[in-house]
Amino acid sequence: MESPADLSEDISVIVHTYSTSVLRFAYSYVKNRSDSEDIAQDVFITYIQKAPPFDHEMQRKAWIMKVTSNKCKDYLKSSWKKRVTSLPENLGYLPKEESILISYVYDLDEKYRIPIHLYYFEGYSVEEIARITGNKSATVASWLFRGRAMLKTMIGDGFCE
Amino acid sequence: MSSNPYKSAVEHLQFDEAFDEQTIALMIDAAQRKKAIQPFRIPKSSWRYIAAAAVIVLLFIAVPLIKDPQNTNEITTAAAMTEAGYEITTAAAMTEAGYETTTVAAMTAAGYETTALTTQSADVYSPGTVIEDGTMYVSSTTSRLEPRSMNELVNVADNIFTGLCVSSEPVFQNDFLYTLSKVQVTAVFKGAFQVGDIVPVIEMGGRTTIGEYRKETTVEIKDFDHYDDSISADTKFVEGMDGYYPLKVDDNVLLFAGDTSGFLNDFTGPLYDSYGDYEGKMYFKNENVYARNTPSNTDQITFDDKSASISLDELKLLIEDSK
Repeated sequence: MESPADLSEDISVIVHTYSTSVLRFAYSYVKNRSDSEDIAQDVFITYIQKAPPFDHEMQRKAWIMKVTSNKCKDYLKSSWKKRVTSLPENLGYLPKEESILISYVYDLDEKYRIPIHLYYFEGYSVEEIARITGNKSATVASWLFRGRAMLKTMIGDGFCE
Repeated sequence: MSSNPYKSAVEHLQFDEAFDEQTIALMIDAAQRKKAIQPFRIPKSSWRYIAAAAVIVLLFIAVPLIKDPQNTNEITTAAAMTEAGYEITTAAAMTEAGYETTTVAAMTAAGYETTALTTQSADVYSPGTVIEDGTMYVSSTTSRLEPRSMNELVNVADNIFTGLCVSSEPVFQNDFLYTLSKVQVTAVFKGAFQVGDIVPVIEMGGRTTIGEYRKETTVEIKDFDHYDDSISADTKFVEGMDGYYPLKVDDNVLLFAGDTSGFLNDFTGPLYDSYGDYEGKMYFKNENVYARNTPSNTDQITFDDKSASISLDELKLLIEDSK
């Protein structure tokens, strides 16, 4: 059995490795930093509880991303979320063109925004996004296509050359 | 601006330093406390078995009524139609009679000889890594929650055909190993393919060498990796999902395929995949029957009593009913 010190070290490595992806993925859902941080903590607590075995790191990451997606959906459906209105995030610390770009993407409907985040930030393929979000590949491909078309209308070809 | 301005912008998003060592210790503590007080709940994945059991019980109740409607005072619409000289299939009869059931289940229930089952073989393999005859086999468990029934496959697949795998090669993309195969069509049941067409099919997993796999899949934390450096780089490596493995040359298969063109970055032209990963792929079993192979720790194709199987005649019937 793993000693508490080893467990803590293992978890620490995993949290540091995946926190960037989890936080940003959660943010793309909930569009709020503090909520993203709460969700990320919850994701890692679930990870520690379940301690699922994986043969490959990529499977571990895919599992963590899927759990993040589920937690975000649960959060968005929760009665707490329905009763409160989040303050708009101040992205003033970002260069202007980046904050505009982020706000355009995050204004898109969730079904377009999430595949776009996973595709352009995480570099996942359509099939991988379908696995994480629990949709068909063809559906994800169509959302990606439409999301890109909407962004193109808003900001021209500057989204991704 | 960089070639991926979105990535660059998201990278610049700032978050509080939420994951210092103290926070991690608190998370571990919270997880252990949560684990200790977790109430008993029926696992989500068990509900489908409970639902399946309920359907079976309902079928047991329904079958005598369907088989011998004359034994009851009621007469079903189906029987009435048959008496009136209408030609209807048993499945249609059951549907007409208001029974919610699948065509194949209906055929079986009504006593028709059928091999088409919608159940999956029991997982007789253990997920993980085995080395056999100098080849390392890795099969991982996917997070799939809802297996598709045969009816769903027939409805959802744009192309249903049998074919022979004429080539098969590993392809790496985004740290994943895939297999790109070419399948020569031998019979078409649904869709626009013609006999003799060569259909490119992409699947998860594949066959390569340990060395190539290590080179092409970059993992960030080696500590958690299963790699053993004493295993030589030219050892054969086969990756599958849930005990199912990708196509190899000479495989004779029945495919329920969909268009996934554009999925591979370096492959232009039409590209197809089988629905539900391995579920949309069945192997030739005997004369007229294709079956899903038994999940295995190696890529040997075997079948057991629980293997979902379908004859080509039944398949035609299902397709006809689905129209």
